[in-house]
Amino acid sequence: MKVAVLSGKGGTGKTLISVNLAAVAGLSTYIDCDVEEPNGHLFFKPDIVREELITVKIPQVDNERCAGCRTCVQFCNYNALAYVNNKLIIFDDVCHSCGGCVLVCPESALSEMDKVIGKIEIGVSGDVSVYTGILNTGEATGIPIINRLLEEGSLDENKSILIDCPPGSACIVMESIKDADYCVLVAEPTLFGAHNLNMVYELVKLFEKPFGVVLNKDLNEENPVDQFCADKGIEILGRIPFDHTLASLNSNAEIVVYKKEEYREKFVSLFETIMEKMQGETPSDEPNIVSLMAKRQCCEGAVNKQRDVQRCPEEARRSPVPSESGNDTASGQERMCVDALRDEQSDVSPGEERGAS
Amino acid sequence: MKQLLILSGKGGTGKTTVASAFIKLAKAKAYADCDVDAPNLHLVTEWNQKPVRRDYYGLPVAELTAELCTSCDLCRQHCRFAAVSAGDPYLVDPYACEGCGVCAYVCPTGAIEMVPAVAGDLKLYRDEEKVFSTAQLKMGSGTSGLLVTEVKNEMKTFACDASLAVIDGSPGIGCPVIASLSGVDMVLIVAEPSISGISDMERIIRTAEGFDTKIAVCTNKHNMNPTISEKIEQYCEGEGLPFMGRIPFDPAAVKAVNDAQTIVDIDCPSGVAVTEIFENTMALLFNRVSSIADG
Repeated sequence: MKVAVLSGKGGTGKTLISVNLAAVAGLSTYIDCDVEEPNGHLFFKPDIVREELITVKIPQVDNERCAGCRTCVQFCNYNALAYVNNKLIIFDDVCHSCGGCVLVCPESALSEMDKVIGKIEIGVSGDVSVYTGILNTGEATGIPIINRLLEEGSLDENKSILIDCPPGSACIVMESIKDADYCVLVAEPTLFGAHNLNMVYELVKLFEKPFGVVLNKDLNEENPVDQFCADKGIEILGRIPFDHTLASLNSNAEIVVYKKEEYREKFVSLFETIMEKMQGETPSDEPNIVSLMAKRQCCEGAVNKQRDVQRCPEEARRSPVPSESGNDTASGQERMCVDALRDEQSDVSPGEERGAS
Repeated sequence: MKQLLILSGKGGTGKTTVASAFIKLAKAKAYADCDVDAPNLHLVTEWNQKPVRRDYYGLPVAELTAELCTSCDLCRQHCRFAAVSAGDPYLVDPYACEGCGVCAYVCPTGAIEMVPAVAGDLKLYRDEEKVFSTAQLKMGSGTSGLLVTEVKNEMKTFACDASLAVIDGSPGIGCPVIASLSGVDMVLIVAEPSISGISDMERIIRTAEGFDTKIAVCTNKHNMNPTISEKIEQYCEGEGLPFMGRIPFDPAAVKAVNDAQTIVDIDCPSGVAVTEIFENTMALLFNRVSSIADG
């Protein structure tokens, strides 16, 4: 069984909850899907038994063959290619590895090569198998790492699997929860906490996942999260009281259930509650694509009207100029606007373009 | 206009608490919430009027017309995102689709079309004096970096004579953070004194170093773990990063947020501390560095 621990807001205690649940779950697997800022390994301090580099496919160009037709540049929806000064430039950090440019090139001038974006580490800490994904800094997306982590970490289905998700409710969270049997939503009793809880609540409802809420840093007084849960009829599975000792242990990356009996009892009881809830649920099927599509379309009644609207310029896809072409920019770290370059098609220097923003 | 971005790497260290206090102290005429995944700044800024809302279109999504589909399977074989599933009819999962257009390209019968899709909601608050740009990404959408850029553009478009723009960032180091870093003059990192907090701070600093921007650090809840708090300051000194100050743990801060106020709206220790950090930050941002006391 797989339990995903998530929260819209960061810093509410996803890692505290998932690490300590894994620690009381007997033989278990802890998977840290927060590949941008992985922290679970700091608590478990696992002995690493295996490491695997994660690569994605990115295009490379054979300049001898490239005829400068720009078919690939026009095809790429991510603006990962630009043709500047009679040369094809590839911005591999915004490339989504779709393979489209290689397909469309009439000269077969493009091929794919592997690029390392991060790694997964598999380790052991007592009864817990610890799976950690680490995205290299400067890389835009850790989704390939998450997919590999979940694939590897889910092999032993007899274990309790705890998935520590990234914050938010975007694609990266969706990847992390898509195969979960149960979702634990961690919230803190603030206005921000309630607002962000609402987002993940909508997400788990959309994916038809059974779920419950854990209130962390509970001050035992009226708060916006209790109010929200009462209004929506959401069950609170457990409460972790605000407590200086716990906060201090946790800040030192200690696993609190190993340190104090009182905390162990708390997490054992939370784990048992989650198990009971899961048994009461019929296992959820894969999300039904047809129903997802229907939902999406009802939110987007305006789509058809907009068919002719030009695509949103991907100005965000500003890429660092590869450092070997450092002569174009002072540091090789200058950002350039690919779109602007595409429009100008030639001699605009990145520095000038940047000044316009 | 000088742009100040508040980041943290780790979530929940107090980005929005600091950003909202800065906005208040600076009487900022331009500000934005780039945490499009989980925006909160609008909850603690005072606007009487409703925002102007518009749809944000991310990348297009593949749409398959079943009547034209011959089940040749080419689309499924070429899709790198496992968004197409075989069957009668073939189906495209709009959440898995990343909008590359390869399926539409390889389809021999033209059964697949790339259609624009709403991926979020842009909101612009504006009056004679000031502008506040914010957005909410649609659940499960994948183009948060693009939306972040839109949010910043909206703010810049209407921030005519503002000398300072305060931008609240998102946690992590990935695509929305990278998009928010582009073009800012200074990044203030709000760090939390924990083992996790230090690790995350180091990763966000490394990410920010890839950009042409000043980087400074402050700590929040510094007295929750004085030993690690001290380590953060030593780290900054070692790296040559200016340290702007410490905010103590303060129960009044939680109360302020729950009353939709900033910590400088009430008389509290964290409010006093953030005021000093604000002054140090402004001095650094506007090159009045000499006024910062050493250490």
